[in-house]
Amino acid sequence: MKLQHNLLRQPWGGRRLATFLCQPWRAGSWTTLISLIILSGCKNDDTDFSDLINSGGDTPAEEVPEPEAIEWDFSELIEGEEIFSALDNDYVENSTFEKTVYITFDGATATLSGDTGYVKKQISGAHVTLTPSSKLVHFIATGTTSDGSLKFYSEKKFALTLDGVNITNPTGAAINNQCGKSMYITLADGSVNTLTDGSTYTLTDGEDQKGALFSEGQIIFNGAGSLTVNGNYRHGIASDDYILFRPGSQITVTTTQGHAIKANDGVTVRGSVLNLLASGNAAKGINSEAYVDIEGGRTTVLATGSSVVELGDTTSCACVKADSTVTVAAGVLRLKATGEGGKGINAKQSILVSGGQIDVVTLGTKGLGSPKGIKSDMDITFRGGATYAYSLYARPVDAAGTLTIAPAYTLLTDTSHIFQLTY
Amino acid sequence: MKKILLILALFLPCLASAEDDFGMWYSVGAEKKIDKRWSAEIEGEFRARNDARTADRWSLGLSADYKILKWLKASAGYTWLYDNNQEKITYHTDGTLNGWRPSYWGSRHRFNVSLQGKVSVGRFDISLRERWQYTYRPGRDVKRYDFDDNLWDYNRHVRGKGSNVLRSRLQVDWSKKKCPFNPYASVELYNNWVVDKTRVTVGCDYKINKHNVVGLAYRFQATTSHDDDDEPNRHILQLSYQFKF
Repeated sequence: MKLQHNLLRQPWGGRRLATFLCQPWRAGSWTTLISLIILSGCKNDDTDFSDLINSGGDTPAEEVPEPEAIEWDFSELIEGEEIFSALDNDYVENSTFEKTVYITFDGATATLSGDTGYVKKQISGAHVTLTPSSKLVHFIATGTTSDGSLKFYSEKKFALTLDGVNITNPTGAAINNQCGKSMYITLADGSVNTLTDGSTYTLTDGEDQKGALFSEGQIIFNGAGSLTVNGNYRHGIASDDYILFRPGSQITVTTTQGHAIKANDGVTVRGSVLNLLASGNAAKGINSEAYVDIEGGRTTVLATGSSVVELGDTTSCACVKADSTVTVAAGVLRLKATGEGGKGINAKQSILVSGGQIDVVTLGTKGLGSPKGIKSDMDITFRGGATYAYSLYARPVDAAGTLTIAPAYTLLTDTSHIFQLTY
Repeated sequence: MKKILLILALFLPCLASAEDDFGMWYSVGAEKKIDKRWSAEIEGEFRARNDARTADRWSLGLSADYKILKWLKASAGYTWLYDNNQEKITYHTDGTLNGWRPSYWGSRHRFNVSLQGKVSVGRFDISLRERWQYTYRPGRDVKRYDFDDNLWDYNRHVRGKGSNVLRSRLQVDWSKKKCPFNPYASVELYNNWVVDKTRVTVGCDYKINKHNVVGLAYRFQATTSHDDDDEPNRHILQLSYQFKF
């Protein structure tokens, strides 16, 4: 009480405060109070996941290595001779096309010559619609048009040779095959061919038009020429059946919206040099509603789009996406996905690698999608070949089922960023 | 009195129920009357959660009050908050672990303006304060562990976010001339289009002298599922000290 009386008499509260605080008995109270404050907050209230987490702390467990460089490759590919059965319908050599029709594009017009009596024809400017009759017909297209197209209706399979043709259709597909049979596309030796669709399509009732080069039936490519396909509105090369690439060709496909190559019933690469770029969101380089088989050739795919959410489902870009299996038996497959969540190989069923060379790099961040290098919703089996998979932000190889690595490999590296396996 | 306070501070954690948390809040402030109408205040605060074992937040605030009328006061202030943001664990629909974002410290900036009206009834002062409060949390990168990939993501971006809250506080104070004790009780609602937090406080200030005031209060904070900070219900013991120039 005496102390308090003395305090009240002093004019400046600040000096009073210091005196007040420094009284010995008060010092003890302050010490206890400060100790209480210090003790509060000594404990971390995070859940202890140390038994589940591989590494923790504030720094990455390992240094992040640099990935392999993957870009388009137009260098020549030496491919062996094909061996095939005389009964294999996939080989145009096994069919006899009795009649030949020549289609020549010249700016705003197109003219037909050859066995034109065996086709029904409709020509409007440079837009050509052809319906072969009862015979198997071989069409050969040349010339250039910036407002033209080729459309086929046929009851039978037919062959189409592109021999230096450049078709741009501002309102739809450059080549549209409404026939459900095989369309054999031969790229004439040494020829340079380009197909480009429009930024919008004018659709015909009851008809599909899914890409710059579209076919209701199978598309089988051969020939030692080159083909560039530009898809501005939908896919680049699309088939409601399967697509087969035989050796010898050089095919480049670029799309800004849809997939570079899209097939309902499977994609097989037996040869050729394929360079694909899909830059649209959730777009794939090769998208198959069935299998993807790599049996030769050199395929390089770049996928750069971001993920999208459709009806609550997240869809990311991918270099190769198959609704069933992916098998790699031979050839070279080089994939790079840089879009957010973008994957290298994404298979709903199993993946089997028995040969060939696979290089996969995913650099996209993890957001809506997880940018895994090689991913299967079932099993992944490695039996041969050389595989390199790199992911900056996710697992390089991820099997929802079983990951099987056959013995007798010469190199195996399996870290959080790199999976490398060589037989 | 001091011994009672210290004993309470040590043993009150025992009163918390299994689900509710217990926290300790410590504040130190200073107030300066500039003239008849204007005054300014500075306050620093430390909070602990998790039965007062874990640091929850530090803050430093500045405010200014203006007495419009004898019974009506307006104020405005800024507070810098440094929070220990609690961990976030996510699960797949089947209940398995999906991801874990550990706790991290981060700043927030809070601005507020208030209007307070007061009426006196005998020894009681009844006041109603309406405070609009805007809090901004800047975006930043944090780390997150993905249990599916067994990988850390060190660049998980947490987006910047602003939130508005209307705080309505009804308080009753008791005072008597020459009595150093000033007990009070209040109820405060946090309204963010829905009431997402309610605070009930019972406390008492003790005027040591003209310049020094200490306070002790018990507060119960109840939150709903709409609470932005995702806090649990919490019993709080608050110790305060204020110096008046």
